[in-house]
Amino acid sequence: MIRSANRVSSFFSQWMAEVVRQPWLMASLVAGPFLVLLAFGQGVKLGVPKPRTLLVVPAQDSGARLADPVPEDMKRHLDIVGETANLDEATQRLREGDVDLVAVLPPDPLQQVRKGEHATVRIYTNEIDPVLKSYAATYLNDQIGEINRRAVREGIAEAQTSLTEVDAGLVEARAALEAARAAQGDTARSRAAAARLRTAADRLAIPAAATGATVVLPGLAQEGDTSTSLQASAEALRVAAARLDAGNGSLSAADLDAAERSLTNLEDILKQARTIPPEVLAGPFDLDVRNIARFEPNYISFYAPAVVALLVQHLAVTLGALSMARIRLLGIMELLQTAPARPGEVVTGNFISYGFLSAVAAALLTGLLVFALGVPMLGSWLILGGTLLLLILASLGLGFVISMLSTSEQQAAQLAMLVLIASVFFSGFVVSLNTIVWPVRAISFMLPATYAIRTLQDVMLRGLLREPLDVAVLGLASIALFLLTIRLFRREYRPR
Amino acid sequence: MTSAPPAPAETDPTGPRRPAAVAETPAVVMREVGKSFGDHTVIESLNLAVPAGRITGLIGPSGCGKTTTIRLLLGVLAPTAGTIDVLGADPARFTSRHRERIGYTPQKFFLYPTLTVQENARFVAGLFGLGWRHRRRRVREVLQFLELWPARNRLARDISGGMQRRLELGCALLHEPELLVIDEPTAGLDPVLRAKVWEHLRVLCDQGATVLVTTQYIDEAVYCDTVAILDRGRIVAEGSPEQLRRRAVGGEVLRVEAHGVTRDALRALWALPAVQALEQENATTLRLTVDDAAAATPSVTGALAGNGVAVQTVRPSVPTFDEVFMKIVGRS
Repeated sequence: MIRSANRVSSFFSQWMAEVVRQPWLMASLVAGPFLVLLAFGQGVKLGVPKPRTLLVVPAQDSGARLADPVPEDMKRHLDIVGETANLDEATQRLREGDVDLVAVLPPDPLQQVRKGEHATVRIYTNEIDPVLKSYAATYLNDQIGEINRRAVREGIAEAQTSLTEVDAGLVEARAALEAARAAQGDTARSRAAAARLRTAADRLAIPAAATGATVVLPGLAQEGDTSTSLQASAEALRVAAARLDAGNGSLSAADLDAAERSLTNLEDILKQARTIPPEVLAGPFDLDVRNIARFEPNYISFYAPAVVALLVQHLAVTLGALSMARIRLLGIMELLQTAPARPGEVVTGNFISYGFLSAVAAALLTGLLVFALGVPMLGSWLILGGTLLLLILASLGLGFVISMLSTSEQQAAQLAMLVLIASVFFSGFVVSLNTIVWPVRAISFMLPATYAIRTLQDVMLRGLLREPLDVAVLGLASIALFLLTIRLFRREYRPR
Repeated sequence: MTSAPPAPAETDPTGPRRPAAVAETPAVVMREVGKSFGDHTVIESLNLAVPAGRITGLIGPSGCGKTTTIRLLLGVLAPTAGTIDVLGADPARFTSRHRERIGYTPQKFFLYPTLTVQENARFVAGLFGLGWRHRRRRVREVLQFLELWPARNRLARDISGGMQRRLELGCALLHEPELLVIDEPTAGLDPVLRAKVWEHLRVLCDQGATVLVTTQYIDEAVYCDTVAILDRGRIVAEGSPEQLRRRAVGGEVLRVEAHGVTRDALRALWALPAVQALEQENATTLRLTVDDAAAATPSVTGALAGNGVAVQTVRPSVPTFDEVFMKIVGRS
């Protein structure tokens, strides 16, 4: 037992002596990833593309341009670099890379709307990046929506201005009703009042523009929309006038009260329609996103756990993959075969040696990220450390297996690099696992980084372990790969 | 000479070690051993017995199967025919305890170039299960024995080839093995260093170790107690250096310098019973093969003088091992 421990520890001593002699090795292992992440967080500004956009305006200035001058809201996502009337010239500049987008404005948008058609803004792009192209479609859609909202907002403001005509009609109607109430029994005054009532009714019925305001907000009035209320009020006044003309020159109190209630209702509706800002009417529904996560997301914090997982996996896989290649290259395999060290002892010694180095690198890197870059650490340090340890063991096992199956150092290095590339694409580092379809997703679940990234992000950024199964899988993978490594190493030991 | 010795009794590898020098059974016995890699046969019907407590040299040209033979008896390779017994065990079934009794130095440099002399030695000592204190003590002893202690803190890649070879030898000695197997210990070394290495091996042998050495330097056979000449995968001769020399030339050689050698004088020499062969190298030099050089010298001198020949010198001539080797291999 003691001899066995001596044999296992000899690998650790040997490895430590080599590492101590190379202080830059540890420095580069830790400082390198830290500086890469720092540069990424500080230097990459995702989510705010401002493509250089050239506007193609109609050849003849018809006065019906969509934007003149170019409004501020059109510059929200676009960097308007100029205008031209020549589409060929614009697309040529697009091909040559002078501009990123060409936006062709419709020649007469109002005319098309009147015809019941969309006024289409055509966008030309020369994008070869599918992600950027998809992203561009999203923000351009948002841009067109903004233009639409502006058009509606301006229409509503115009309609609200026209409500002053209705106000005048209301004043006239109230005065006519007052006159009708006062002319009880006096035929001449009743007829005069009836005439005034008809005039008021006509004035209320005229401002059709005002009804447009309610089109955008169905149900604005509690008892029907503004248009219906205007017509109802006008009709009530006309009925009152007809009774005055036809009857004995007087209206019943009930008729007068009904007409006044109608006017009061109309006044309330108009007041409401006037006081609601046009931008609210143009875009009645707003978005209010509330994040219940325990930290405000930013790029460094979000990517930091994934970077740690990816780098630790790559370090361990590479060390493991090159270990046996190195042993073969230096001729140490023959020494091991003839020494009393058993395959299990050799494998354990190498696991401890390389595992210790990887663990130190992972601890230093994580510490730097948390304490120097301020990456949140909301969960348990114990779970974090345990996950990293299991990730290291599983990755070392993967590396050792690669090493055993490789026939040269170059092949081992290539396979280790292949694991890294696969991890970048399939581990959830770049794209979410949900976007990867089966059976390709099986690749994701063969990579230790996949489980570690999910766990580290949850533990560090959410403060809880949502998928304990991930840790269990890492643990099982570590054991399985350790045993497989011993089995393969025993095969190497066997007399040929 | 190459007949297989009787199989030794199984010994307990975990039991107390005894000095190999006093062991009665050979340390290594190979019987009718063959080894092929696919269609290529490297070793064929090889019989070899390595006496305990002696230096045995396995000598042969490059590619004759020396390293393969060594790997077979270390259990790195499995024989395709025959049986092997090393310290009483089959190498294919070696346990850790068996391996602790064997020290091995491969032909190729096998240590970590980026570790110091001392660190490499400690690593190997650890591999053989030596505890921390024991390790430190043995490393110091061995490095001092091999005159490497002053260089203990130098990186292995920075020391000379001779020092590297001695370091490898030292690594095989750290655990005090009963059987020391060294593949080409002097390859690439200058004559002074080669002599020094053999000197160290002799000391180890005197301390009780059994040493099996391969070399392609034929003249180094003289440093061995027993020599086995390997040619094309077979042992073609085996014995002490002196026995091999006698076998190669058919006896001992007398070299005669004389003036006026006549045909009658040559006939007189031929007529002597002790003379096995006669060769006239030039007008004044004769080379005679005799059973016993010392006993034959007076009769040779008398035969020449009796025929009027003026004898200048008569002295035994020792053929070089290159000559011995060429004769034996040529004959085989």
